Amino acid sequence: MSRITAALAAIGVCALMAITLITVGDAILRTYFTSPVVGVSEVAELLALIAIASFLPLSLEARHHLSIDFLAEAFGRHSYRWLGVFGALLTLVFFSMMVWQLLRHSLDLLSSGASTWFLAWPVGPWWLATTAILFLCIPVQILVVRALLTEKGAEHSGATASEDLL
Amino acid sequence: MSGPLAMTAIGFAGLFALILMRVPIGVAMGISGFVGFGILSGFGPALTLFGTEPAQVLSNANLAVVPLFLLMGSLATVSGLSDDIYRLVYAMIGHWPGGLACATVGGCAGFGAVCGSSPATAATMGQIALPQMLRRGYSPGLATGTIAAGGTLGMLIPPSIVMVIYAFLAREFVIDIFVAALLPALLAVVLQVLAIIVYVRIWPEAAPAGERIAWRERARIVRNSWGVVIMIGSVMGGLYSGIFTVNEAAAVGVLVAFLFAMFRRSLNRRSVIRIVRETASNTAMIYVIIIGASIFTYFVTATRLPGALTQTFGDMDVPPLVIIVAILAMYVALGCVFDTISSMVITLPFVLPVVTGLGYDAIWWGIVLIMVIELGMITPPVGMNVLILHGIDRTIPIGRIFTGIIPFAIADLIRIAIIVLFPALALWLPTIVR
Repeated sequence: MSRITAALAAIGVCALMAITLITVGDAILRTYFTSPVVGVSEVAELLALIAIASFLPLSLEARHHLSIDFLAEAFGRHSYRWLGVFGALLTLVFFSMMVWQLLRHSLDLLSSGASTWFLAWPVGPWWLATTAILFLCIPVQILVVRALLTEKGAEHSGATASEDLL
Repeated sequence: MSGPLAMTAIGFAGLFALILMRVPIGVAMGISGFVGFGILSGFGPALTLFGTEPAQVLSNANLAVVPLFLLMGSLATVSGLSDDIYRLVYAMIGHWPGGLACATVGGCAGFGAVCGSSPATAATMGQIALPQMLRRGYSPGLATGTIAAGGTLGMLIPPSIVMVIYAFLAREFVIDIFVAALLPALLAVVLQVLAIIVYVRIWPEAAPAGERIAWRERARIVRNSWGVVIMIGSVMGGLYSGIFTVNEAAAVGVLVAFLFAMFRRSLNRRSVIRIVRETASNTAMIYVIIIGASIFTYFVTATRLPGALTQTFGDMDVPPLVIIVAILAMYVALGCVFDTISSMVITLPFVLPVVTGLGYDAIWWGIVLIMVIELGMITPPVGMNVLILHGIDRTIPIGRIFTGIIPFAIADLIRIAIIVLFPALALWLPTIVR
């Protein structure tokens, strides 16, 4: 699963680079040649949709969440671990409901033939692709829950679990 | 207590219980918002929030700058731009007593302008500046205190990710928030440098003067720092001159940082993996919180709490300033437990209507709010930036770092008081730019 989530995240970064190129290109053409490219913001929005969705499975797999850990530590290692399992299960419920409802949203857009304003691109397929990527969060989170259940001893703990650099 | 207020109290109790039980904050907000809204309006409509809110957040063009700024920060870090900024400022003022600490504050301010995140600034500058300050005989307390406090500039100096999130939640123009933050950010740098100068006057042995760099060498360093100048100039200059929109400025920043990393040959397999992981993880974390906050806001609005609170505070026979000070005290207390983004997204649905109901400007409040919640990054017991510094050098006790922060915390409190008493310092520039 790691390879799939990492590949998806890489696709997300590529999508961001594509947004970068078309946005800068449009800004240059508009500023220096007074000929902006029509619909650039629409393409950028659709690409951003795919990019952001592509980042979520990796984040779930890496258990990269903003959460408060240090109070749970006071209850001991055993409780700390089970609270971690509880949090992961609620995360699974959260993402399952989100994917379910976004699928309905996507199908609604598909059937209504909704499209972008300038380019008239149908948005339903983009949303369906986004939902398909987000669907991957469900098996990823199931694996996270399983890993937490089978892990011996307490997992990583710290004064706060706000991960990495943000 | 009336029905809606009791419901709100139960909802918030549930939210805090989930958060304290290690549930990720975004998920806790989403689930408690869903349950609360479900009880008030039915679970059918509540379930649809899991479709409408993520759809709105994921497709929001203003929020799309978040991953771009995060990518720009990661690219700037791997390409060594942070070293350039630090070297440049040090070359100019490093020979003053306390000059290395002042250069660190300047470096943090410069890196904050290309990064937008407080802990990222503290972590990056900590790795560069801390060893240098310790090697030159700086007291560990002052050295770590400077970096931890300087790191908070990452959040205050535009472009700032927290400001983008505030603008989205408060429905304000992000460019207005960025412009409003300029003078307060400048004041922050000045007051932090003043704190160092006063500290060094009292305890000169804490910060020995560095060696003076020859003018020829300074000129060489300035020449070699052209990348930093181009990057900050293109993002900030383009943004504030009105040439670029915020999204365009972010895209230009990404492109310049990418080209810079490529020409410096900083992009290898390892650094690319780091960039992908950082950008993906931090973007996903922020989006989950915003989606959860959007669902929770629906619940808070449905309880009619914001209106009731605004009415209550409006009817109170106390000056509005007293209420503002009480709210700020609440944020200082919240900062002991929650990180910056969490403090903001959890409280904004009911605090912002109260503040604007008292006649204050939402843009001004955004700046004050960000300044006060950033205090939580350096105050006990959590103090994220302090933990980061402790992680970089485990030989320096956490208590020592907190002691080193005291002068900077005082400077921050003075700055908050100034901006609260003189809102024009934040609101003047946006009126000019408009």
